[in-house]
Amino acid sequence: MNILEVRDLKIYFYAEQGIVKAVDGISFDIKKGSTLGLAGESGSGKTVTALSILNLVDPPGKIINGQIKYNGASLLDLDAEKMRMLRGKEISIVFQEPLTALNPVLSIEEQMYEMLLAHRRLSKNGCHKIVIEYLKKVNIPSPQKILKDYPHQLSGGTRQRVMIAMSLLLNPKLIILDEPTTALDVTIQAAILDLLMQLKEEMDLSILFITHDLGIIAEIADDVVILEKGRVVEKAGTLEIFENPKNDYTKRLLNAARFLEVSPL
Amino acid sequence: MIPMLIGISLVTLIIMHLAPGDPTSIRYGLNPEVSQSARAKLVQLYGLDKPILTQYVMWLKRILTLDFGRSLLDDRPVITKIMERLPATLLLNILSLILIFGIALPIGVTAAVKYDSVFDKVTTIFVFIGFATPTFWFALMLIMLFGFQLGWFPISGMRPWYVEYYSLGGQIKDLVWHLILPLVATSFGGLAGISRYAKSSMLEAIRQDYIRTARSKGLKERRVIYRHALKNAVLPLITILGFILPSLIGGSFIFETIFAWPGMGRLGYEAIMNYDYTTVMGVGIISTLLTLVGILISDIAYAVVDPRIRYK
Repeated sequence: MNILEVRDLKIYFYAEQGIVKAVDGISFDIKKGSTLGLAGESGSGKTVTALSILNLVDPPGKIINGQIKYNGASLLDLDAEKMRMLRGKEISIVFQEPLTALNPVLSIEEQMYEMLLAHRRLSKNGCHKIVIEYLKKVNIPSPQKILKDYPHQLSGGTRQRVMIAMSLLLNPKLIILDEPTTALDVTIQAAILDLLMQLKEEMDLSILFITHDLGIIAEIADDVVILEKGRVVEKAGTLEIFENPKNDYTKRLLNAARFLEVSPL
Repeated sequence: MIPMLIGISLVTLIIMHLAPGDPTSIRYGLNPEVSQSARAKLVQLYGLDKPILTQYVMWLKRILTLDFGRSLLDDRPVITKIMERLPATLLLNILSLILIFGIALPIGVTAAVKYDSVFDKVTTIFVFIGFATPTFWFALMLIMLFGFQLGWFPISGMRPWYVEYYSLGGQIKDLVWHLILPLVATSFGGLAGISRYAKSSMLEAIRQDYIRTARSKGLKERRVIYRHALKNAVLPLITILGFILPSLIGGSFIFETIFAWPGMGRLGYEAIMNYDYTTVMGVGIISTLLTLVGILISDIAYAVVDPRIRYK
């Protein structure tokens, strides 16, 4: 059973210099309860693909073709209000750079409460309880203390933990992680990855994990899709890709990782 | 603040002295009955024969005891003359500031949110015209059209003598009636600039990552725009508030003269024309103080809105 099915997705950017085919006919599935790694170099269309699932591609980008099905229902046909209700509640996203992804002039408290209030009728007290519960879930030691803080007052790791807690607030079924550890240093990276895997089991999540780091893919993904210039070049189980890469581009990516002595396996 | 005050007052004094003529020539130069010795006495009294720097130090010493001196024109204390005029200037400038931001902010924000729409294009044209129009000419046109030809508004003054016989309500109504043309004239230029500024800073805010995050959380579009984007977009506008004050106060000299508005600007203008050094210096100091206070207020407002520069 697939939680998400993407078919022949095309997203073009209509720039003044011409059309940029950011995503050019890609298809993939995410099995319920599994982790799909979406890998590729910068500019291969990973992030745009992720954004298109929640219809967040900004102009001049446009989804011009394809199907995105969530639990069998087509997402591209939803009207604006239905899409809004789905965002965060069914599918949520964690972005790469938590410092710019959080609003610098609103408190952590406000940014978390507003998400709950956009979907549920809750008192301030009700919000408070849920927010504290989820901040504890992501191992923030004294959640009370950071509620009144602003993003710049937190460390990079804590900021990303807040982002993850926020994305889980409404118990979504699918969570899209767009390079969630790239902006963090290595030790914190490992801790965040452990946390994510633990939360996945606990909350029965399906994950779309976007990264250019094949080392991370090897660690956490069940299946892998490799993108190059907006096209899928290889699609297989994680073990298969690492043991027996068929595509030339995949081999080069793997070699690059080995060259940097980041052993993928 | 203190070095700024010293610099501005020194420059003011030097410029006044560079202008040909002196206060005695205005008062007595055309009067053959005033003897040379009487003029010389006056020159000595005001210390006009001393070097500029000495004069400045003398003036500074008096200012430190809050003594602004007496007007060379009519011998009344300068501070009294200014205090009579200050309320009219403050009234006009504060209302003008409120009007500028009250109108320009919604215009700019709407133009940014509905980028490339008809509304956006119409306001862009308006901004263009606003920038290109010399404001003093605009003021004169207002007077011609609404003052003379249509006769809707009085062309000058603030409080005619007869309002003393009106009730309080009538007096306020008369004041508003007198305020409209000067207010429109002083706000016009700022309106164009600030609405354009509001638009570009709103466009900038809408493009940020946190707006995408806000949408991905399933927030209503209204909240995304008017809470997440707007709060960030007003930050640069608060800084602008500090910058626009000097130009408003500087504009007072022109507009108060055009509209015969009994404010400090016109007092300053008349003082300059009459070589009334002490009054010019007094007006200069008070204008500078007003500007600095305005900048201070905008700094404080900035700290209130932006948590990143709050002082611990």
